[in-house]
Amino acid sequence: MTRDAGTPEAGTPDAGTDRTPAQVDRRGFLKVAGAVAASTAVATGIAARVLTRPEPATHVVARRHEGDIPADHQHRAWARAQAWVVPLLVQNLVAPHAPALVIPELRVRALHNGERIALLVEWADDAEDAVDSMARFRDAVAVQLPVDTATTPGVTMGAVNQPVHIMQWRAAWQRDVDRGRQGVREAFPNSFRDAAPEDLMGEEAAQQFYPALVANNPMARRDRTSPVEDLSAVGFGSLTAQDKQTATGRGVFDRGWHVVLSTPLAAGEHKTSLHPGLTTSIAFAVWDGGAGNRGSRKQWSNWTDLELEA
Amino acid sequence: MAEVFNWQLGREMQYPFQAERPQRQIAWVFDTNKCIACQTCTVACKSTWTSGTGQEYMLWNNVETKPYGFFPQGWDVQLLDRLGVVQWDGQTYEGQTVFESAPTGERVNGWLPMAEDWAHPNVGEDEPAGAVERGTYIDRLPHDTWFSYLARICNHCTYPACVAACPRQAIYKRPEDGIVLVDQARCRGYQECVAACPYKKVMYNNETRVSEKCIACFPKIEQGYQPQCVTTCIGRIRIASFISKPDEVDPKKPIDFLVKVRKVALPLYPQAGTEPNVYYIPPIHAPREYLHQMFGPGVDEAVETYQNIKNDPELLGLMMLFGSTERIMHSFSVEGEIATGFDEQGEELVSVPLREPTFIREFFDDVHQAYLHNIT
Repeated sequence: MTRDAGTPEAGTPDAGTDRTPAQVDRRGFLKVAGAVAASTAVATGIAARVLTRPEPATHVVARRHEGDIPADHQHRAWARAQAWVVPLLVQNLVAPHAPALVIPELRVRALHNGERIALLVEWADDAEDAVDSMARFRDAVAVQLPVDTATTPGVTMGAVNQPVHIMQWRAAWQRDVDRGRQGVREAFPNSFRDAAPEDLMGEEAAQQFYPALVANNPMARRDRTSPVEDLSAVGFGSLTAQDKQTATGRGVFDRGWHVVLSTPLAAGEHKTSLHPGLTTSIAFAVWDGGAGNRGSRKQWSNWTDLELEA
Repeated sequence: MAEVFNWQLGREMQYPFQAERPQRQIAWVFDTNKCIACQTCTVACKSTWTSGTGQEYMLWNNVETKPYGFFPQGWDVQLLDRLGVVQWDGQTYEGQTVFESAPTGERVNGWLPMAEDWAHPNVGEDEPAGAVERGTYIDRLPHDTWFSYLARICNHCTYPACVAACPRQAIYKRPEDGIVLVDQARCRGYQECVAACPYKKVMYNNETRVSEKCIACFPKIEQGYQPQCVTTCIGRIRIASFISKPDEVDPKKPIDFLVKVRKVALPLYPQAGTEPNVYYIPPIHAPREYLHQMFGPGVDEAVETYQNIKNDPELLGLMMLFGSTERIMHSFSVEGEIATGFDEQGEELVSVPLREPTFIREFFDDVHQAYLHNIT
């Protein structure tokens, strides 16, 4: 810690440090606070303040926020939400496995405003992997909620009769939104081409040259407006895009990813419906594209509780 | 893992799921001896299916020069390296397949080519296996110095590695004709199939962000026509038709006759274990050791049968029918000097003579006082 532990700000989570509440050694904290109390006249008040510090979080709490929830992860509203550290496991339950645990944990904060809930998910990563091309994979993160909020479905991305609502953010989609649809030209900037089909015959007629686009595969979308996709699943391998897309978000890379994922509390059919005062389950998965992570080659978490402040 | 029977290995083998054989299986025979690597098939395929943005590098059909040609770079060397020294006991494969040798946590023993591996589609073209000495005169088989052409498409395998590898069942094998397709609506671009395919015939589309592969020109096959790469082949080295199940054989069916009766056409790298459905008549001038590694234990018999073709009117007649019709030939017959191909209803599609009329000139041209290279 760089700051004096006895300063009042130290009583609030994470002030002046990258460490999270869960990582703060509470006994050490008190010992330092005690030493300060013994040596200074004003220490009594400070020590009392430290001792009344809120208990460390035991789950994700979505604090109530007035007005629009900021998509900017640096907005001070996020600092008021307590960060919950999600330990991750390497996915080795179903083949193909992720070969190694490259992202050991996520930090998650949550806010809701009675209309929408947003999660700020952050993790350290050396490199920004935002290009989707041959043998190159993108960073991504996903949030999983049970469709029936009273249950905790299998960690296996749900199960038959236990559907889950998944929201996935991908770095490549973020780039699509920020800079316009990314494709061959961006993946291979030095490549040469004489003319793209759409240049010759217009977008409509050129569709036939993009089979996945004609098949309405969301991977091939050329008009992406949200970097987050709403999906549903009833077990491994069953992930399917929702008909109605309502999730939004924004991811920024700065020595790691800072991704805000946002969804309406009443998200609609086949999705999770939330309301203030509810406690349900939430789980996470994260991919490091540079490490070859994609699909089932991922880091994932067990379920944890998500509470929406009343 | 399930136990399935792979007739090309002569044994049961491990496969990730209990795969049913399709009701019918489309299959091909390529005669490598007649291929001149003109790439007409490659261009036909390219201009029919892969001229879109994101498909620039894709060649669902390619023709490479062996031993130093690959697309993508080193694909078969990588496969051989992973499977180790090939071990056959007679007609039974003793080694491990790409499924049986898969490391923990993997469904298939595969590898993912980098972008640069796909960047040189005709590397090694016409490069012989060794140095050609000055004054070399090739007068025996197999040749001391050699190269040969290998035309390749998706093998539409009976036990596809791409199907096995996809974690979300986005690839399927059609029950009606055994064609293997990537569901363009369901694929999420994980490229597990690209890594798994031992023949590297699934390719990632850099624009649509999903994988694509040879579709066996299914709109043509559904109409009773052979695929583009077959019908455009100017060397008439190819035929596409249906093959019977392993325990059935119908000598009137062209593929059955070539693969099961005369056993002149062999699977490519059968040791991979996918039971590929493109069969090759091996190049008779290439060294046997190389061919054994490439086509399995049937090579000696296949080469011998092929070399004896002038005394085998049925085989000769069928070879003459290659490339003689755009329609799928379901059966054939040879009577006298005429070979005939039939459609599914038994209606005649085409008839060809076993021997084209030939005029043979004198070896020495008196007028020009010169020996002639070509006297027929």
